[in-house]
Amino acid sequence: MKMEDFEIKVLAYLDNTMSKSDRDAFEQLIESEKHLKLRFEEIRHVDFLLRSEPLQQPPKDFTSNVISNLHQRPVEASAISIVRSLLLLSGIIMVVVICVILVTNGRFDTMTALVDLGDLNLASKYVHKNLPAISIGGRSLINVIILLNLLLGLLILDKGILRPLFQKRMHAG
Amino acid sequence: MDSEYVVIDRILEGEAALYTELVDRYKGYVFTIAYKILQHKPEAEEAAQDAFIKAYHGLKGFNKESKFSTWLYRIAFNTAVSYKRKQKHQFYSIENSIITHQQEADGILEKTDKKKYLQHAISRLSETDQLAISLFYLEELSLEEISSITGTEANTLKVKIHRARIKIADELKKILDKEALTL
Repeated sequence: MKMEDFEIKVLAYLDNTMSKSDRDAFEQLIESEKHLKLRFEEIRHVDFLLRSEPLQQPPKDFTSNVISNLHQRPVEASAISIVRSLLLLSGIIMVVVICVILVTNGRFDTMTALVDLGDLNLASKYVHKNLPAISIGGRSLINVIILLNLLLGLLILDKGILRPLFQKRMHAG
Repeated sequence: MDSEYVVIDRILEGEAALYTELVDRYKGYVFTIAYKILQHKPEAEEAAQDAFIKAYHGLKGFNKESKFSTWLYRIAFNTAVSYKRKQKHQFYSIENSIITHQQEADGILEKTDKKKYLQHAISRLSETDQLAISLFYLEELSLEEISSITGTEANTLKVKIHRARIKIADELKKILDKEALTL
């Protein structure tokens, strides 16, 4: 018998998951083979030590602490940590500042994108009139991007930084 | 178990003070689970308290299909794991390294203390195996319960626990042989 198979039997024996006949056969086996008996004793000894491990007990005032804090809402783990939120926010602020500098320097004034709605197949299928071409200025586009970035920044400031901070302070108090 | 459900119903009806009964009954287990994961008593105490508070606020959601203890231990397990993720770099590694070095400096361990030999053998296991074996030897927990607490599939868990028990026996044998040589 392989040692691995024997060890599986030892654990089944110790966990009391063997049938009566299997237990008897197993007991006979370990009595007949000295090295198997030795291995059995090693594993049984560890099992005994592990089973006699005491349960850890919290301090005596544990229950009263729980009861006195019971009406505090548990702190919800935020999806992103405050540090990560700060990093993200500083990245957004940097992007916004760079965009504002470029816009005020007039870098996007000459850029325009022409979106011709008439080119879309949609026009021939559902609309019978000629659709106009829309000209989008680079400056307006960047302004929209800046605005979206600012909104995202405010959201991160609220959800990722201020709220967790206030919650922490509330629980500390 | 029925009386436990009665207590839960009464708590839900507004008798919050009865929650003391549940805290007293399970604090040892909840604290032990937290301690096995965090390996730091003050932090384990905080996590265990947090778990009980979360369980209290989530009591309405407990559907009584599983045992209250299993449901509570799952909360304790998840809370301790999230504490560990947050606090890992603050003190856990420092404390462990101090213990490890102290033990090595003491000629591995004191010669007659079997519990310390055992702890040393357990500390050689991976973190997940340590936890699996600890939960397995916590009174009353079946493989299925450990599986639902940790979210690990029962068969995988069975193999893990089996290997861990054998590995501890091997490690303990190695330590004892080493100790015998130094005597």
